Amino acid sequence: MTGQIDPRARWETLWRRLWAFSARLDVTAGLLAVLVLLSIIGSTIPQRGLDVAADPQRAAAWETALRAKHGAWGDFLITSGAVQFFQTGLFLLPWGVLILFTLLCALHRWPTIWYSLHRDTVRCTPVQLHEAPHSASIPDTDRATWEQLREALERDGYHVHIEMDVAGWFLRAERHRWARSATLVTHLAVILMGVGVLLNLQLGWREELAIPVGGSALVRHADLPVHNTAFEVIRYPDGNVAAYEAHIRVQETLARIRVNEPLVYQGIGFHLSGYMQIQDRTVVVLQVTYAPGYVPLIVAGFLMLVGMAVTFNMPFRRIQACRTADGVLQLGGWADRRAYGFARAFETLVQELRAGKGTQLT
Amino acid sequence: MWITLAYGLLWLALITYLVYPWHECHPRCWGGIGISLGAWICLTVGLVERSIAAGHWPLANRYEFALCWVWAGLGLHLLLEASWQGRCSGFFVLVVVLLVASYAVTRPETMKEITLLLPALRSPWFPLHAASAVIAYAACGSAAGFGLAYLFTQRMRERLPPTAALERAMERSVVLGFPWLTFSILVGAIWAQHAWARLWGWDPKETWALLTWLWYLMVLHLSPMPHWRGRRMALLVLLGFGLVGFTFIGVPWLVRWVRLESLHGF
Repeated sequence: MTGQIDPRARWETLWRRLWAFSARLDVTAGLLAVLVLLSIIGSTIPQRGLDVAADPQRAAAWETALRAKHGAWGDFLITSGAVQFFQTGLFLLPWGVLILFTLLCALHRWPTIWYSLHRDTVRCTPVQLHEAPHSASIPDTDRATWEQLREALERDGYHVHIEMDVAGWFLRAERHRWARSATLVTHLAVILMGVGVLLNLQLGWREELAIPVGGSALVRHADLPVHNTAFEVIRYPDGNVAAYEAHIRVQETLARIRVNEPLVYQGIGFHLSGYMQIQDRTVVVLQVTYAPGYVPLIVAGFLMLVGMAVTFNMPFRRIQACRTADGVLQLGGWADRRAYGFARAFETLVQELRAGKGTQLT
Repeated sequence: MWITLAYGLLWLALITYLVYPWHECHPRCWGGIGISLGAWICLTVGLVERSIAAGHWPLANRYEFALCWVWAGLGLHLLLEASWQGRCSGFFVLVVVLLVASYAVTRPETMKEITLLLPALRSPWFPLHAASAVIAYAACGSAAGFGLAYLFTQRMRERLPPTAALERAMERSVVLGFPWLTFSILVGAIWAQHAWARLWGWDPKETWALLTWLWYLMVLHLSPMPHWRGRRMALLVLLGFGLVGFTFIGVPWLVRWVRLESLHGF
């Protein structure tokens, strides 16, 4: 045998390494730093919107204006493709890796979190408790101390489970147990955002319609006729513009639309984006959009908020105790990094339990 | 008048903090907090007055937004001072608040005029978007104040709280501000969909808001790592505030300088 490596084992090793690599915080932080840097670069370059790029006439006008404004630099930006920097592989690749790593990280963490959420083991050994980040030992305890401990924990909002038998008395108290799953919610929200963006890019569309008052136009993507019945500029008493208002009819649906009040018809949005005065006629400009990724994106945003609110404000805490036959009560405490007051609360609890009775904090 | 008075009181509070102990519960150190409270009350009255005169939330231009930022920053500073038993580097937080306040009061008079809302700003999403940004920016400012204090602890050990307390305060401020920053961007996206028929358009302001968010997300990912704590974290938080400041003040300048296009008025 000449020490040949099994290809399957090699793939497994590679996969395990990638798995562990994707869940590393410094890797995520590095990717975020790259995205910050690329965003800074992109923000200094004039960007051609997707709607402009989709319309050859508008794209040509935009490029002419850019060349007029920036000269040779504008020419370079157009030919190099920098005017669509945020759609280039250079920018999208780190995003893709970030989303992939978020997915892998969520999968990586899921078994551990799932196990901890469903673990109800009340029994423990004094050694385990002694090795906890927070621990204390109280000698000569009795039933009254045990009850005092239970009551104090319940008063603080802990869910307490107790088991008692000849081997000893055991207690497991937890607060915000489910909060640990909030990180997964946040991670899933990032993935859902990616799905929303993909849906918009693949299935979404956008059209600009210029319709004179009294005229009609056809939404090509949906084969929908739109009729503009009226347009009005509403003014403040001092003459400044307060709102623009158009009345449109889409098939048989009549609606009044304003800048912030679009019409949504069969999932298609009709937005008032401007108006032009051509000779004696007023021409209303509408943006007609279909964005199937909108709902997933907004849901993802709110999911992320919920996940963050729980993670940041409801840190997990656990206290376990066991009282051996010789009356020694051993306490152990574990808490999330953000449970800032836990150390002090643990200490207070121990002091309350046995004030002046040989309490030994470790 | 109320705003000028508030600005004067802020300077007085800063001097009081400088003269008397910063983190001890000495009766004299309450002077700085008392004067800060006075400034906050004056600012509140000024903003309410302005809001009534304008008929809308005082968030319609850069001057008003900066004033609200000062109001929220000062309010947060007072809340933190009240809720924590030890005084915690109020001086440095006040320095950050004063920086923003100085920017606001030095705006040209034309920018300070009360204006009517433009059609695009007449949306229920607008006050939500701007107010959440104000809270987020205030929290980021507060974090920067603590970060600044952290960097000074070596030189002023006897005048500042322990570094662990400062670090915790810094992280708490970021943790408070980040969800508000997220909410602000989210609501901004909903509003943009209604007003401009698109969630996201890589407008320079949007890009900078996103990169600020990415930066603080990076800070949160690095905060559990021991070798990124302490001085490094303080520097990251200060840089984060630099990004916040650039998003607010620098982006309009960038738009003019590079001759970009932006739909954002401020």
